Amino acid sequence: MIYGINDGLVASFVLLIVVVAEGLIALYLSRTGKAHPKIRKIAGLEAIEEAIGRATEMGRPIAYTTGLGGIRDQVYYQTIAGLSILGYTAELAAKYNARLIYFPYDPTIMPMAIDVMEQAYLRAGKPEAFNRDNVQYLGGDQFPWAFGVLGAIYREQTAANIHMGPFWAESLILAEAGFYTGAIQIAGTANYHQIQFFVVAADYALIGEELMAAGAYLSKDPTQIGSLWGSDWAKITTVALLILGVILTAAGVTQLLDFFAL
Amino acid sequence: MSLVVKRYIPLVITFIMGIIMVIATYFLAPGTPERDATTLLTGAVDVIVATAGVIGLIVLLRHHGVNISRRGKYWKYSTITIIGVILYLIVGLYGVATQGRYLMLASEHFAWVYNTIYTSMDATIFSLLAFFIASAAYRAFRLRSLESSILLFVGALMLLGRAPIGGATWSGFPDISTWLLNVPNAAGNRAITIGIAIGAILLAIRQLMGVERGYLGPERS
Repeated sequence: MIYGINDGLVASFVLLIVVVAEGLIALYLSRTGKAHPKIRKIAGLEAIEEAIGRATEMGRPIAYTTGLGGIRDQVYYQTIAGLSILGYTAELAAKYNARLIYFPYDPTIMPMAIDVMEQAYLRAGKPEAFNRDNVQYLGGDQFPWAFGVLGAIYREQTAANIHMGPFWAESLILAEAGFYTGAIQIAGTANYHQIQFFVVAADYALIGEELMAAGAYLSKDPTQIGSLWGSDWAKITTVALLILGVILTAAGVTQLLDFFAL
Repeated sequence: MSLVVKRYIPLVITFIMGIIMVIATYFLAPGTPERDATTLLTGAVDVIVATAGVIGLIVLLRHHGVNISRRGKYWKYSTITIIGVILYLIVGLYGVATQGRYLMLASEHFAWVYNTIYTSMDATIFSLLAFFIASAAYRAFRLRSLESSILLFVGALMLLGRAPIGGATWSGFPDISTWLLNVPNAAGNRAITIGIAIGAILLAIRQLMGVERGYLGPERS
C-alpha cells in the first residue's frame, strides 16, 4: 500500500518533480510551436560525419564502443545515449560505404546494438551492406575487453574511433591506442573522473550532459530539443537554490539545509 | 518484424517499468511485500543477463570459428581464443561435476585458473595504464596554449604537494594542492555532476514518454 513518500526522500522527490515539470513544459512549448529553442553546436557530434568521411577516403574502418555499460547498471543511461549515437554513426557509415566495427562490452547490449545498426543501414537504403561480423563481442570483463578493442584498433588500423558511454580506467588505454594509430577520435562519457582523459587524448570530447543530449541533438526533432531547453531551466533552478542556500546558511537560517538533509 | 513488435512494445514496456520503479523508490517502504515484489521484478533482469551471456559466448565462438575456417586475418589468434574459452569451460564444468558446486567460481580448479592466470594477466594489463598516463600527460602538459600552460602549472603544484619532496622543500605545497583539490577542482566537478544528473533525468523522461527513441534505431524516413 502507498502511505506517502518514503523517509529521507521528500526533498529528492520534490526536486525530481520540479526538474520533470520544467522539462515537460519546455517540451510542450516547443512541440506546440510556442517556442523555438536553439541549441549550441556540439563539436564532437558535428565531427562524426567528418571522421566517417576521413575513414572512407583512407579505406580504413571505424571502431565504435559504448563503454562498460549494460542494461542493469546504474549508468545504463550513458549506454543508451551511446546506442543513439551508434544509430546515427551506422547510418552515415552505410551512406559513405565505410566499414563500422562495433565492440559491445555487455552481451545484453549486443542484440539492441545489432538491431540499431540493421535499422540504420536500412534507413540509409543499404540493408545488404550490414554485416553482423562487424559486431565483435570480446568478452565481458573490463581489461580483456579494453585490450581486445586496443588490439583491434592496431590490427585494423582504424581511421576513426568513437567511444560513447560509461568508461572507467580503460578510457585512456583506448584513447591512447587511437592516438598512436593516428585515428581521429571522438569520445564522450558522463563518468566525471574519466572525462579529463578523453579531453586530453581524444580530438573531440563530449563532456557529461552533452552525451545525454546527443540523441535529441542528432534527431533534430524540435520536441526533443525542447527538453534540452528544459534542462537549462533546471540548471538555473539548481544554481538559484545553491545561492539561496549559501545566503540562508550565512544568515543562520538552516531550514533549507534541513529540508535537503545536508 | 513489424513496427509494433520492434518499436511500440519496447516503448510500452519501458514506460510501465519506469513508472513502477519510480513508485517503488518513492512510495513503497522497504521491507513491504509490494516493494519486495518490485525487487523480484528487477531480478528478472538477471535472467536476461544470463541468457545474453550465452548469446555472447555463441557470438564469440561463431566469429572466431568462421575466421579460422576462412583462414581470415589473424586466424591463429582466433584459435587461441577458442581453445582458451573451451578449456576454461571444461575446467569449470569439471569442477561442478566433481565437487557438486553449482557456481563454477566456487570450484577449486576454476578458482585456481582464475586466481593464478586470469588475475595476473588482468593486473598486468591494468599496470600498463601508468605508461599511457605518462604519454598522455606529456602531450597535455606541453606549453602550447594558455589552457595547457595552466594545466602544466597546476599539475606541477599538485605533484609537489603530493610527493614527499614537495613538502620537504616547502611546507606550503601540500596546503596549496589540498586547496586546489577541494576548491576549484570540487567546484568544477560539482558543476559537471549537476549537469549530468539533470541531463540523465530528462533523458529518462524523454525515453519513458517515447519521445526519444534513438536507442531503438533510427526511424525510417
